[in-house]
Amino acid sequence: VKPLPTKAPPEPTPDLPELLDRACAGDQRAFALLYNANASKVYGLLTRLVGPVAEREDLLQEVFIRFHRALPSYRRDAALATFLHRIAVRVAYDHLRRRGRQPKLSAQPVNEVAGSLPSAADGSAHREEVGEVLALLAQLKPKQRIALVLRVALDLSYPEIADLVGCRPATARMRVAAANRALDKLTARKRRSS
Amino acid sequence: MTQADLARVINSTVEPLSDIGRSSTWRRIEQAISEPERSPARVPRHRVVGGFCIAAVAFVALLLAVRGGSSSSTSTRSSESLVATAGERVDRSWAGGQLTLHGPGMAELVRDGDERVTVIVAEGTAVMRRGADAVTSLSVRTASLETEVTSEVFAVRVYDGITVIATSEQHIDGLVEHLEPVVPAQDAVEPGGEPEPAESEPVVEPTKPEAERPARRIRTPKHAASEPAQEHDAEDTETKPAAEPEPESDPRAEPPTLDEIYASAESAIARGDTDRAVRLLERIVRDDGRGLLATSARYDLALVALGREQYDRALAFVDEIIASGTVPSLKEAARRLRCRILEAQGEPCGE
Repeated sequence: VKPLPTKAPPEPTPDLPELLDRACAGDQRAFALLYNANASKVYGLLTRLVGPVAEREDLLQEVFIRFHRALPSYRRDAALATFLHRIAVRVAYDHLRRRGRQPKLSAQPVNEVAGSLPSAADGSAHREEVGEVLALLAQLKPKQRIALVLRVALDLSYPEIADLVGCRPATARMRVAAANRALDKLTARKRRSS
Repeated sequence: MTQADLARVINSTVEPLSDIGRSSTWRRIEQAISEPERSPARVPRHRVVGGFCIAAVAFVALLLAVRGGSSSSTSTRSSESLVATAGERVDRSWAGGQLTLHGPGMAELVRDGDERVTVIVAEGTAVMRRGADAVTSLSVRTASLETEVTSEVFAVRVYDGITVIATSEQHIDGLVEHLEPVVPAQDAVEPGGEPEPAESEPVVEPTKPEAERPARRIRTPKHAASEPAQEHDAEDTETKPAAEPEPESDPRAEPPTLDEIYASAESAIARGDTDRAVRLLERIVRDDGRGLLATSARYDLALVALGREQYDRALAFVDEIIASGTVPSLKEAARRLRCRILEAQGEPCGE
């Protein structure tokens, strides 16, 4: 039984190209080191993209399984983080699309999600605000939501967003604009109803 | 709610990955990557028994037509027939990619190990997503088209002998969302009674990156062979005045949409043909008024003007965007661009 990786690897570890070569050759220990070094960042990105939902660990698993399969084709012309983030964006998109095909989320799961926020967000007012924002984001189209989150929460430029989601910068710009308009409409509708 | 509020709320949902979560996820990953990859589940037979027989016959005929009956298979090769009834969609995936067949349609997924995947579409709309982790080389075949897919997403729709391809998400959405029969556009040619060449030749000769091309229709081989110079994309049709009838085009032909014109303008910018880009963008501004595309076009016009050192013109465009305020995100970008223009003029930004 191979030892379970726990914390991030200590400093004197093999450099990245060597790790990638070894992981590509089937060395699971090397792949574990890559996982440990990148899991938190990918998890954070997934959380931003899909919200603090329970399936995040499943999505994280999916990202690294796809990464493992894609290792032989990774030409290393892009940074590893960018490569992983592209996969994470694709996995998040698939998840949001699947969820969109399911019956519409009611307020209850959103509140449950908001209730499971980290301790920094314990204030009830903040929790309520987060719940409202998540409910609004859940009503956006997946592509628009992803573009908006990448733009607003990660402050990425349109070419960077386009690179991650695989579209043209103009398309990314239009998705963000469309998401903003949809959010404005949803917010206005909510105000009117309340 | 401001963008800053939105960012604050979204970022506040991020929590660190716990050690337990990290370890349990790794266990599952380790287990998954240790196991040999399973082949995708097949379509339930009871749902497709009738269609399967028809599909099999159609595919054999299609394969014979496309390959001239000289097909051979290797030991690692596997083939799967997919049939989707009207309104149904069938999904298949391979390492780093996914195929979705929207019904009514028939397709065949041929896999040479994990190295090569060929999707043969007899009828229907097939959307292929190579994904960011594209491992496999992917090619697509229809009766009139054979091409390597290099873009991340690629859709092909075969209907009534007409093949339509799309390589951008926007156009793919259009193909999938509007599954009514395709009305041939300016560059589409209905299959006619002309003599068919003995062997099909490559129909699509990509002259520019696929991502730059809008959805377009591909002529069938007989027309491609007999009229090779008449294939246009949205860009080519745009060079003529909109009111001028397209010679030899279908009477039902539609003018290019604003979206297609925008795609052409972007292609022109990418090629460095800014004169043409400006003409197209100005047309969008004229036709779309205060719409999203017009606002976006103004932004691009401002960029072009800045590149040409036409600072007053560039400022006029960004000021229009800022004044209209129809697109908040572009408004912010326009403000930043305004600063760049002022700085280029040697003036203080003032913001």
